[in-house]
Amino acid sequence: MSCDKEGKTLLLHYGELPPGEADAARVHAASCADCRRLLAGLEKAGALLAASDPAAPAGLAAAALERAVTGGQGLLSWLFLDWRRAAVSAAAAVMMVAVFRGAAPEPVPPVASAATIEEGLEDLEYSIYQARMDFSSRDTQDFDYKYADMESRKESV
Amino acid sequence: MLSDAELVRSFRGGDEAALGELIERHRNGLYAYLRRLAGDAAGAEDMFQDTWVKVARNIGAYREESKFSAWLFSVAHNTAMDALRRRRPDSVSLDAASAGDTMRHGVPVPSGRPLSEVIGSAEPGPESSYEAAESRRAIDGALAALSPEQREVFLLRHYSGMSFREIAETLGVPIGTVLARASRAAAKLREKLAGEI
Repeated sequence: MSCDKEGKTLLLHYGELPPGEADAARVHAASCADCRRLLAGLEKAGALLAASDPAAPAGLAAAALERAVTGGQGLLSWLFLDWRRAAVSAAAAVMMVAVFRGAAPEPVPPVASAATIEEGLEDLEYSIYQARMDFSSRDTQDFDYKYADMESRKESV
Repeated sequence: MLSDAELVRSFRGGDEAALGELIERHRNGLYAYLRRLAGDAAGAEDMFQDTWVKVARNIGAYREESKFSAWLFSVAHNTAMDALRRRRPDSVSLDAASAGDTMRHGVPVPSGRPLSEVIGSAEPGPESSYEAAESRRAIDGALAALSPEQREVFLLRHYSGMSFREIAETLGVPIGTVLARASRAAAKLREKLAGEI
């Protein structure tokens, strides 16, 4: 992150800033190359997602409704779902037989959770980001975010 | 046109057609979101149906003060995470595996066009099909550069229309963490899509 107001620009893009702050963020973004690039990237990502989103298959909505109101007893939901579950169950049964007939599988060693480490790192990075934001913003929304974050940290401690 | 909240009220009153209208209304957005998470069409269809079963069963838990779409996507997100957790890393769907997809933290990371889409595209004409394929290639490449947590926040914000605060509640993480993930996701997308802009 190269501009310390990119957090604001992010909230501006998603329409989560109050009107007064949104105007200020717009003025800033107009004169900041980093924030303009950030907005362009977000707009491009949104446009690419919209251009490549697959439509739901025909019949899926009807099957979902039938399953939701009948608990999965209908023909449509079977066509869309249950035959696959039956196939998976059959495959699982075949694998079970293969496993019992062969050697016992190697035990899987415990692995440190990369997700947990990454989350911890992100929290740390956000603390640094927040400290920078302290000097550049005083609005209540930021305060709410910081307060919620600090409350959560306090609970975990 | 009835609002989502009015349709929910009708469904609670026993009108099943109201649920049908809700499914129809949110069909494409919800499916597209689940398709991105699942990495394959079959998985997305399962998740889509499971989501609506849970919505129907737990409709009493929905509170009208909040947007129905936010509640729906939080149900869908939890359903998808349960399904993805049940998947073993070596049980990637044929679609994903054949397109060269990889798994990261148990979540498929799309890196190419799923086989089913290569074979079964069709509806749009050749030009729009080509454009859609190019868009898919570009966005899949950019999304693959995000961590699963960053991708989760970015996709939820894009498809559900939930605020970052609502996303934090759905994910059960502090708002600061959600904003940090979103900021990092935006920075990576900006970098990866620089050539496309």
